[in-house]
Amino acid sequence: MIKACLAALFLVSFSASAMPKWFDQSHEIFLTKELDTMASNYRDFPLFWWNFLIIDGTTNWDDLSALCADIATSSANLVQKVPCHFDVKQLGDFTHDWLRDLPLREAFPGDKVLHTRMQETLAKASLPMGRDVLEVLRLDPLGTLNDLKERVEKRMQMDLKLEHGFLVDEKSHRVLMPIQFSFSPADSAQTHEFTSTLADRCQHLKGCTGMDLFGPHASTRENEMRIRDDVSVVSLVGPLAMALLCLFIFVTRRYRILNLVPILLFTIAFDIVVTVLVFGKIHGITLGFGPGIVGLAMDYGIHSCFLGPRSAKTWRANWVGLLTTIVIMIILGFSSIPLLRQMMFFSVFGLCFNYLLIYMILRRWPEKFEADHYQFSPAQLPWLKPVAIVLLVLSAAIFTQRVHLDVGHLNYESPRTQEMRQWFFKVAGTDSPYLVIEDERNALASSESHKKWADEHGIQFEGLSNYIPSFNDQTRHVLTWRAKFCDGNKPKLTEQQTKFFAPFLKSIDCDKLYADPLNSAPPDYLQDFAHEGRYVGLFFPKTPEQIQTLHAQYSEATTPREIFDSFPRIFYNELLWMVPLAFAGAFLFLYLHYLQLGWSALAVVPFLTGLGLYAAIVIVFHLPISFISLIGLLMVFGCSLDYGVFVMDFLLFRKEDQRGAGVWSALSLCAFATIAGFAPLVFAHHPVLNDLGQALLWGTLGTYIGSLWGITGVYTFWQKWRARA
Amino acid sequence: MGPKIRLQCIWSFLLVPLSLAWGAAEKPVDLATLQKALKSYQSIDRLDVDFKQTKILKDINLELKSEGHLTVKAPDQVEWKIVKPEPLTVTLEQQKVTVKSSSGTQSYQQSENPSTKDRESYATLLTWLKLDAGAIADKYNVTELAKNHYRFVSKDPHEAMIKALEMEMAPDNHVSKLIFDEVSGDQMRLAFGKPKVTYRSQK
Repeated sequence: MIKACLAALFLVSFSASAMPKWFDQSHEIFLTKELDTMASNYRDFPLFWWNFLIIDGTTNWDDLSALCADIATSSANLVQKVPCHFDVKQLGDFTHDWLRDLPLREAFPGDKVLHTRMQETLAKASLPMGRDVLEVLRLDPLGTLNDLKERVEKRMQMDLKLEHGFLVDEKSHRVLMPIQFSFSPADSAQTHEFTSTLADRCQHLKGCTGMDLFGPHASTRENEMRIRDDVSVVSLVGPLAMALLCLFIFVTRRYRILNLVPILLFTIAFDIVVTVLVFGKIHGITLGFGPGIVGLAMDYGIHSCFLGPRSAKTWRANWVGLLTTIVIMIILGFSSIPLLRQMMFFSVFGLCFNYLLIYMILRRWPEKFEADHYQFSPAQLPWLKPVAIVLLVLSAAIFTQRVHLDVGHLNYESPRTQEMRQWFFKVAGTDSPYLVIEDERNALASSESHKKWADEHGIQFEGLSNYIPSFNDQTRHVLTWRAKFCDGNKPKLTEQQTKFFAPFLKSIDCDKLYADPLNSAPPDYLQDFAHEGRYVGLFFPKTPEQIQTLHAQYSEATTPREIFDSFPRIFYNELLWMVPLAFAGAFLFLYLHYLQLGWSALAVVPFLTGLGLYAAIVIVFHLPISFISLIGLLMVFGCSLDYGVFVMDFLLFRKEDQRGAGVWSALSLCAFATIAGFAPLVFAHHPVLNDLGQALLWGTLGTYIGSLWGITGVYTFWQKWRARA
Repeated sequence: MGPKIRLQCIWSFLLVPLSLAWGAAEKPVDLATLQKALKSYQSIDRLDVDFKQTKILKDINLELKSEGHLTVKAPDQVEWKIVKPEPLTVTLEQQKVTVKSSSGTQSYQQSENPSTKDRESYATLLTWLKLDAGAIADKYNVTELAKNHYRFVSKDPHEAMIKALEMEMAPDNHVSKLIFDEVSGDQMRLAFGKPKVTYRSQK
């Protein structure tokens, strides 16, 4: 019941719309420090803030252009660039900075060329045109904006046809509208502000059958929405199960057990505060799993309530249960994966703190907690013994199952998003680019060297050097302009040219006409590559050979896929030494307690039956086993050893004890509280919540069967076998 | 009633008859009349004509003068060749726009152009350079100011480029003058020489 209560609390807190600052829900916590630094590049640089609006059902360009213009204007606070809507005013800073930096990019072309180009521009200006276009001509006699347009279009190279600023897949009559947001994907409230308008926009677009956002922002938002939707369902089922359990306790008049609840709630609150103080933030997964693990401490309280808090035997079993549980967690706490470290800290601290409180309070005021046990024993359901034996055998089947350790498995995608992703990567003909961070001391030189190498190896490169030359080249160019425009010099221009090109002439400001080493804020046209003084460059290798060459030259160059693919490798390598060590540590405590290998092994039976039931369900229903499932099984392992110790202690030391029979009541209540608390998660669609729910529900149910019928079954068989021997 | 108000009343009385007379001079023109007036342009196969152009940039009080040659080839090709002050040729063909100058050639498809304004401007310009009576009547309210002198006012209050236009025709029925009033307040005046026309039937 207590664990159910905690689960409900967690779920309700998750469903709150505004996430507090101390709450973390990033994927980066799965990554080691080194990998996180690389992954954060994809989050922080605006270059990766591009998404695509995928529109089905219409290719009416007038309607689509109107939609595009509407998005660009009505969502101007959210959208940074929409290539299908060309508006000189909206691109103000972008074009202004580009035009201003002309003297950095190119040497003064000479009087004759300048005169000719100005006259050509005047000829263009004599055609009918809007005022905004005319103003651009006045600023840009050398036509450098066309140059910018060509360079920017290169960035969006895809195997799709460009029409009216949209990308079109003619086969599927699908239109793709690139959109760059002005905020990071993590800011999902802003993404929601945008996506919430799409249904209405589609309704007002004639022929539109679907309009969806696809990209990093959309994915982040979809995952968050899925969790919230799941939580809204699960948070109804959870409290309902909890209410039923409460009703059962009230009807059966075991009120004193409820005195444990405030102790646990205080522990959880204190544990969260301490974790936030130590780590700065607490991750949603820690908050979700942790209370369940800490709630294991309640098993010791319930065990004490039914078996008597005054009995030394009760506490001896409790101590062994605690030590076998925390030894596993301490070993896992040495992981290089921050999430595991945080979860294990939260669990170990909470478990010990709660145990300490229970130990002191129950021993000081035992009469406030003692409860009569139920008249229930496993003998009442003898048919579950063979079931337990079958589950024990089935546990081996878990090793036949593939474990999905990739983080991608934890990414929720609706069927629509899956379809869009498959279509996109099929038609876009583009793979993830390889990212490098330019040398912070001299980003320009670093980018230039990357570009030079890429050109030599036929690999496309996108970065600073495509837009601005090295500091030395800039200086050389600037000097030619200064010689013509500064220190009392003026180019020879006609009166008409001087008047018409006044904005251009004004933009050549001798006081500011110096090379830019990019030490301060970068110009607007370089903003996509910049974040807090760091710059990024991208390689686009096409063939496996090019990828190999790139890796050989720049081992640090990586793609998001490579970053996330490294997670299973790290996790697998850690599991290889952690799991055996954790089992050995737990087993050592069991052996020290029972001083017999056989008794110690029997205490592990509940975990094996739990594993057996989970394996059977996984096989029958084709469920995936993920990183989250493994953590769920870890929680099951923690509680299963407690159950095993409680049963074994009863069988070995308290069979004749009057209160000893309370062990069945204690285990039943603990198990059903866990099941009631976490079983609703199996109704969730998000892989994280669902995987956790499946592991906990079936693992705990199997553990319960193993504790009550498995251990006694094997124990009886063993006794008979020994007697016969 | 103060002297200022009295003076305004007198002015108003004086102006009313003048404005009525102006209104009476503008006679609405229907499609049939316009087609008749532009009849010689409806069946051309090729038209060659010299032009002199003055663009008046109102805000900066600047006049840009140029001279050149216009070639229209049926059905959809227009070449706008400026000879002075600097050679520049703009060719509009189907949806393709090519701008050729001494510094190079730029070419792009209108369909790729993300600017709705640009696309609309392109369509309008093409309509005018081809003097397509049907298309013009669709977009403009046409009035006759005097004999062979027409005024066209855009029906679209949100028109992006050309707000109104005046057209004068020479006695031999070729367009001799076009005055574009742009939405920006700028004006473009075009004076055409005698065209050399090849008709489809002559081919």
